[in-house]
Amino acid sequence: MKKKLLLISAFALTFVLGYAFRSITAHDSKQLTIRKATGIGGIFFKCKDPKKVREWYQVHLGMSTNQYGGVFEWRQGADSSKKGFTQWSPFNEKTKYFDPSTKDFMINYRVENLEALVEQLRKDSVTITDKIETVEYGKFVHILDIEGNKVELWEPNDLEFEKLGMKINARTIK
Amino acid sequence: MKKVTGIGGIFFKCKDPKAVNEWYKTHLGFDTTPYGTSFEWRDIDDSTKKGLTQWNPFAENTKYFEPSGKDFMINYRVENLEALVEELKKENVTIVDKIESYDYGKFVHIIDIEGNKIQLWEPKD
Repeated sequence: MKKKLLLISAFALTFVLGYAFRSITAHDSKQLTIRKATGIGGIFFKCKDPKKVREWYQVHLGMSTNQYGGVFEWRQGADSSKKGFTQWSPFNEKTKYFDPSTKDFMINYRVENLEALVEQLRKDSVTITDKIETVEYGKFVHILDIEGNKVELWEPNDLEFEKLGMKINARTIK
Repeated sequence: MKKVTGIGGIFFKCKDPKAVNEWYKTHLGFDTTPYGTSFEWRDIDDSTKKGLTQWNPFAENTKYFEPSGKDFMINYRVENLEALVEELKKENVTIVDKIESYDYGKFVHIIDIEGNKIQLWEPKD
């Protein structure tokens, strides 16, 4: 009987704690809507011979590539009238672009409000490796994740990004 | 024949997948489950069709990326996996396993020109 009671109270406690925790996290996510990675903006990886790798993916997997890699074209989940893009690029293994991370890949995440997000990340004591750079197709910054992976954050200007692709006559992958 | 149409997933090794999952949830607002998360998008030519890109940290001792020794593996969405695999076989591309069918689609693994293992996925979204 004692055992049963103990078990019931353990269940009750778990439930209450779980509820409390959920409320906290739900509250948090409401407050911090600027923390929102909305998609994968790019996948970059090291290889011995980027040119050969691009060709291989073009020949065998039908991916349209140019000197920078390839671009996947899609529509945004939240608003399908808007396009989205994911850059795919093999890098030379000697690249310093992923430094200080020693991994052989780097991921770019699309975000909504980079300036505000960077302010938040600074308060969180997340390592920010450079300053926000603004180019015509968006804003960029690099940070380090909990295991030292360098992460690229991109607040995209998809219309300009598309124009850029058209300028070099790049076909997208879709 | 249309081959790769999108990125179906990005998988990478880490020391502590749980901590990595938590970090991305806390700092970048990822909607994670214990296994990772997925980003939703729509087909460029038919916006009624949804697409998903999986994002999953893996334990560094996973054998899932073998025989590749790399820290990452990419999943590519393809159309008509059976026909593509037939073509790849003729082109002497290394196919690591047999096509497996699940509720959410068909999968196979191949090796690229530099030994990276890649996952091909014909999804049922």
